[in-house]
Amino acid sequence: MTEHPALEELIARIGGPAGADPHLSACPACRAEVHAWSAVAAGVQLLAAQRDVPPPRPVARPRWALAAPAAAAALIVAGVAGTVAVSLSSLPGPVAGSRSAGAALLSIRGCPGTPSVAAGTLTRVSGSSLVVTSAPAGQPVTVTTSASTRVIHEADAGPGAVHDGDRVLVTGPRSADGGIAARQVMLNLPPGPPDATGPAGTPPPGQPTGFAAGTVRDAHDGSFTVVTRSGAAVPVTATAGTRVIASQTETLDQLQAGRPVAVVGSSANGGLDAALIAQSDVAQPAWTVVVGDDVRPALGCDPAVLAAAVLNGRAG
Amino acid sequence: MGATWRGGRQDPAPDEDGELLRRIARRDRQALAALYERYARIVLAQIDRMAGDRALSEEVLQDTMLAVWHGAATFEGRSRARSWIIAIARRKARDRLRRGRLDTDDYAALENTADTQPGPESLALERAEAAAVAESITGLSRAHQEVLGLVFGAGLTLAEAAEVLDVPLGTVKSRLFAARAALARRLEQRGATER
Repeated sequence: MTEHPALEELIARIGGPAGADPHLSACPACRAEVHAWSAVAAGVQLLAAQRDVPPPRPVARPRWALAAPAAAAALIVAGVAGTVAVSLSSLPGPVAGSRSAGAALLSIRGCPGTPSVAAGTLTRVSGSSLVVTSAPAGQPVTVTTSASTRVIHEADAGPGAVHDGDRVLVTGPRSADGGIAARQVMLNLPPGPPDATGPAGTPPPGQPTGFAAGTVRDAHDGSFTVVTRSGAAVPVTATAGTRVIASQTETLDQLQAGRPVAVVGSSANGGLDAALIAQSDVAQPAWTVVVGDDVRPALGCDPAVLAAAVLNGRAG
Repeated sequence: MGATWRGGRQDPAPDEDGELLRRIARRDRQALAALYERYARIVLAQIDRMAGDRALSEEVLQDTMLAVWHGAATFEGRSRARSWIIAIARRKARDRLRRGRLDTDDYAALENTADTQPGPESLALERAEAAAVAESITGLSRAHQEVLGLVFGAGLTLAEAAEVLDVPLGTVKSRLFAARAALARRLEQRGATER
């Protein structure tokens, strides 16, 4: 009889035709080994077959990002399972005086209600109608409000405002180890389970940054860990430039012309029916507008569609 | 190009994987979809064995495919595409586990329990139904599930599994035998309970 096959060779014989191997035909011990490994292989493969495979996440940039005005900043839509955050980062142009802030009006593809975002300077308030003017083109966008329009005021909360248990959305470049060097920390996430982490790697200019939404743990000296619902832990480091933003609810009559605003709503008649208006007293805000469960129905957009938009936003 | 038969499973030809990766490097999304179709289940099963958390495994799967999308051009063909992809997935999973939870096995301790020779467990395995084997596998340590998955699920050679796990070839063998012995014990206990 020839020498007994090595383990690798025994495994390679799994599933082979019976009787084709002279050694196995003559060696009951080796046959038993192959049978035993066959049983193991069948169990492993059965287990794998029982698992549902999720659909792939597209890696293409969405059309709304590609269609953005060149001067406008990249739009990040972040959020899964209930919380949607819209971030317009590094808007160009000053926001004070008669000059308007940078703005973008970018549709999120695929939502029946055509949710859109406009950001700029609030240049006119007239009853239930507002005008938001972008820069540098100075393009006005008419915004219509209603009783269901939610208004929030975003203010600089300072680096010491982040504590354990806070629910936050962090944006900033991701390091190779998956951590985020925070450019902005958004406090007070509205209702809706946070469960999101964004693309790895440091994005090139104009590309979406990394993000993480979840609950703060181990806050210390401005740095902390964000734990998402799925248990992923994202270390966040603060820098001198980290901006911590807290938001509070306001009413429509508290909106002030001349201030930077970002509006999330549905496109209508060339303008926007506002579901959420965020007003900031921060100069040159890097907008992060978080759309929670309370606002999302007004957008007429299925959460799953928004989640798909998020994933599309993982630019390739 | 033909497929190969290995470890009880039919594997696509390595050349086809290499071609897919070359197309992905040229930003061919259809190629990425084809690669996903081919490997998502394998990667997901493998990461599930490591992480034991379905949601986390799915995140790692997507991280892995995104890394393949961005890194396909760096694939040099020195290893098979499948072991390259699984190695990426494993790194992604370990990164997340290291950051998030310390729910991992004591691999060093496992080596001390390794059985390097075939044992009398063959009979228990031969008699067992695949469903019982599958169920018993889920009760094994993650290290044992992982090595079984790499060899019999992902279809890696022992050398490839060693490279992915970053352990010597002998360790892969000892883990396989130890995993099989542990599996047989579980099946025997299950049989004793059912009798």
